[in-house]
Amino acid sequence: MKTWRNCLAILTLLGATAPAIAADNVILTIDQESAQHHFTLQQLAALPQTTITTATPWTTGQHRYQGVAIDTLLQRLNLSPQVLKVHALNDFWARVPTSVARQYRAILATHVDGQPMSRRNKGPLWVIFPLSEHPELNQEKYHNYMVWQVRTIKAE
Amino acid sequence: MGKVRFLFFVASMCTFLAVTAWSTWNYERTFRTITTTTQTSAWALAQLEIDVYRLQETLKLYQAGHADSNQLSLSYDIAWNRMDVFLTGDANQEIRQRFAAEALVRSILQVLQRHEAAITTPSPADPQLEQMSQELDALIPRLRDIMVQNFTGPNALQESRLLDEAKIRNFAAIGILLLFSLIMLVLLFRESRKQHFLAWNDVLTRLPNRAAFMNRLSQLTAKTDAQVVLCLVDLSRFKEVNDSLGHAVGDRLLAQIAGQLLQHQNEDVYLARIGSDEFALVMFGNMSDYSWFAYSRKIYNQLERLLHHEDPAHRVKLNMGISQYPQHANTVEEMVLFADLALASAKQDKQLHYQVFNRFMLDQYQRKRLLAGHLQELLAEPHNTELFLCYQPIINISQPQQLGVEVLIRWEHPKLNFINPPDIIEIAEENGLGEKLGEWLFRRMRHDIARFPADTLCHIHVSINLSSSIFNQNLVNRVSDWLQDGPLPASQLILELTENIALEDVQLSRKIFTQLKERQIRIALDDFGTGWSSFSYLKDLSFDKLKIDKSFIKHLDRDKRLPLFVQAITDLSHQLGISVVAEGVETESELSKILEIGANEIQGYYYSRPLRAEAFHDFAEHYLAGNTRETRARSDLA
Repeated sequence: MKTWRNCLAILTLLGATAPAIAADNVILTIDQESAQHHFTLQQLAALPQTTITTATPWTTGQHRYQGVAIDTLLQRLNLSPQVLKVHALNDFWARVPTSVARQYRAILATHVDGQPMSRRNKGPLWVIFPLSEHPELNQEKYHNYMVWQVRTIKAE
Repeated sequence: MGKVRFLFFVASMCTFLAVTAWSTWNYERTFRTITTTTQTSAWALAQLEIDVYRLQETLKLYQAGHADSNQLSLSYDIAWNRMDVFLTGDANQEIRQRFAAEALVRSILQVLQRHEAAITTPSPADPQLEQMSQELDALIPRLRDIMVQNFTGPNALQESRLLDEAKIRNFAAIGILLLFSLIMLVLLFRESRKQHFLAWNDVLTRLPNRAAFMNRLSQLTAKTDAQVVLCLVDLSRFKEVNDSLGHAVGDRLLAQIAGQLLQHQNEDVYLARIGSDEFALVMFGNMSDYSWFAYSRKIYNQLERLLHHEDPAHRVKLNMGISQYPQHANTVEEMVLFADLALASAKQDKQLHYQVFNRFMLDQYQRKRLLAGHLQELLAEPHNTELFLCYQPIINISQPQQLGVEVLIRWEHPKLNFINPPDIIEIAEENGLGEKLGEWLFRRMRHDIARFPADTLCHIHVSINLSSSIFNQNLVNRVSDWLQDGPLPASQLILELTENIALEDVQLSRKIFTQLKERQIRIALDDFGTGWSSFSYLKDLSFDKLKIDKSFIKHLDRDKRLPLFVQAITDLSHQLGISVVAEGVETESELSKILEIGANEIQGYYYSRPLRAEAFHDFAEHYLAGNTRETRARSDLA
C-alpha cells in the first residue's frame, strides 16, 4: 500500500501520468484589438526556441525550461505593446510589462527538461523568467509575472 | 593600561552599537516574516480551496449533465496542478508545515489520483465519480478549517511563537546591552573614584593634598568652640637630594617621611602633603588642648632621626612652624599664613628649627608687605629722595690716580626710618622686584655721576652689587642697555656678587662671566670668608677681584690667627691673578697690617664712610687732584 502511494507520488511530481496535450490543439491565443492569433503546440515548437535553466519557488531544484521567447513571438506578430495581460486557464491573470519580458528574455515555456508540460504541471505554457541567473528577479513582483497554465495573452 | 582600557571602551561601544543594530534588524525581520507569511499562506490556501471547490462543482454539474468532459478535465487538471504547486518548492513551505496542511492536501491529491481513470474516460453515471465527489465532500470542510485557522486562532499562536522567539532574542540582546552598560558603569565608577582620589590626594605618598587639606581645615574650624593646631613640616634644601641623588631617592625619602607620620597618626590628627617638600599635621579634638606640643616635638625628633639616617650628608633640614586656632588666627587662611610665618622663622633660626607663631612674626611680615608695596612705588620714580645711593670710596694702593667706589643703596623711610640694605634686597627679591631695583640703581648712579667732570669720571671705577634674580643669561644685555648713553664706560664697571649667587649654577656663571669679559666688564667676588669660601671655585670662575669680608679685617692687627688666613687668601688670589680688596678697614694699624699682607685695594671708614653723591664728588675731586699732582710730581722727579 505504502509503496504504491510512494510510486504514485513520484509519478505525480514528474507529471508522467498526465495526458499529453494534442499537438494540433490551440493552446495560445494572442489577443490584439484588431485581431486574434492562435497557436498550437506544434506552431509554437516551430518558432525559434529559447532555453532557461532555473529554479523557481514552486519547484524543487533546477530545471531546464524550453519555449519561445515572448520577445520573439511579439516580433513574429509585429506587435509592440506596452503591457501583456497574461490570462491563465484558472482565470488568474497578471500584467507583465513588455520591457521586462524583453530585458530578461522571458519565455513561454512549453517543455521542462525536454518533456512537454502538462496542465497538471503548470502547462501547457508557463511564463519563465531566469530567476537563478538574475537573483534580483527573485521577489514577489516578478514571481507574479510568472503565470502558469497560460491560455491567452492580451496585447495592450 | 590606558590603551587597553581605551580599546575596551571602543570594543564596548562597538558591541553596543552592533547589538542595537542587530536587535532592530531582528525585530524588523520578524515583523516582515509574519506579515509576508500570512499574506502568501493565505493566498496559497485560498487558491487551493477555490480550485478544489471548483472541481467539486464541475464534477456535480457534469454528473447532472450541465458540464462537458473537457470542463471536468480542465478543472481536474487545475486542481491537481494547484496541489502539486502547494506540495512542491519553497514558496509554500511555511504553510505546508502548519496545521497538518501537507497531509490534508496530499490526501485530497490522492483522491484525485485514485479516480483519474474516471476523469480520463468520463461518464456521468460512473459510480467512481460519485465516490470521488463524496470523498471530496468529506475533505473540503477540513481545508476550509485550515484556512480559517491560518487567519485566526492557531495562526495567532504561530505569530505569537515567532514574536516570542523575537522577544527572547531581543531580551538576550538587551541583556548583553545591560551587561556592557554595567561593565562600563563599573569602569566609569572606578575611573571617577580614581580621578576623585587624584583630585584630593597626592599620588606619591597617598596623603591628602593641599586642596583636601584646606577643605578639612574649614570643616574643623566650622564647629563652634573648635580648637585646631596646625603644624607645617618643611624640608629645606630638599632639592639638593633630588639634584644629587636623583628624584627616585628624593621620592623614597618623601614616602618614608609620610610613612613615619602615618605611623603616629591618631583620630585627632589629620595629615596632608601640601607642597613638594611640605607636610601638614593638623591636630584637633583632644590633641589641640595641650598634648600637641609633646606630640609635634616627638614627630620632629623622629623625622630628624629619619633624615639623619637617610641623608648622611645632612643637607636636608627639618623645619616646623606652628599656629593655633583660635588663639592666633581667626580664619583658616590666617592659620595657614601664621604657620607659614612660623615656618619661615624656623628656617632662619640657626638653633631651633621649630617655631610657634607669635605676634612679632606677624609684625615682621606686615612690615615687609608694607615695605614691598612702598618699594614698588619708589622704584617707579627714579628721582625720589627716599631711596638713594651712597658711594664708599675704594683706594687703590698701587694706582693712586684711580679711584674705586662701591655703590650702596639707602632707604630713609619716613616712618620706619633707616631700612637695612640687605632687607631692601630681600624684599625686592621676594616680591619679584630684583630686576626693577637693578635698573633703578643703574639709572640713579648714572644720574648721580652725570655731574662729574669728564676728567674726574675717567679715573673712577664703579662697583655695583648684583642681586640673584638679575644674575641670569640676560645680564650682559641688560647691563649694556643700562650703561648706554654714558657716562660710565663698561670698562669702568665692576659687578660684585656673592658666592651663593655665583655658585648656584657654575656652568651658567662661567658663560655669563665670559660674556661680561667680552664687554670689558669686571667681576668681583663679594664677602669672601663668610660662606663656603672654597678656593676651588676661584679657579673655576675667573674673578677679577676678591673682596675679603670685613669680619677678617676687624682686629686684624690684634689677632694672631686672622693675619694667617688673610695672608693665605691674598697670596693665593695673587697667584691666580686676582686682585684683593680689603673691606671694613677702620684703623691705621689695621691698614698697615693689611698693606703688609699685600692687599691691592682698601675700602673702609679709615678712608671714608659711604658718602652721598655730592660728598663723594668732593672726595673724588680732592683725592684725584692730590694724587694726580703727586703722580705728576713723582714723574717730574724721575
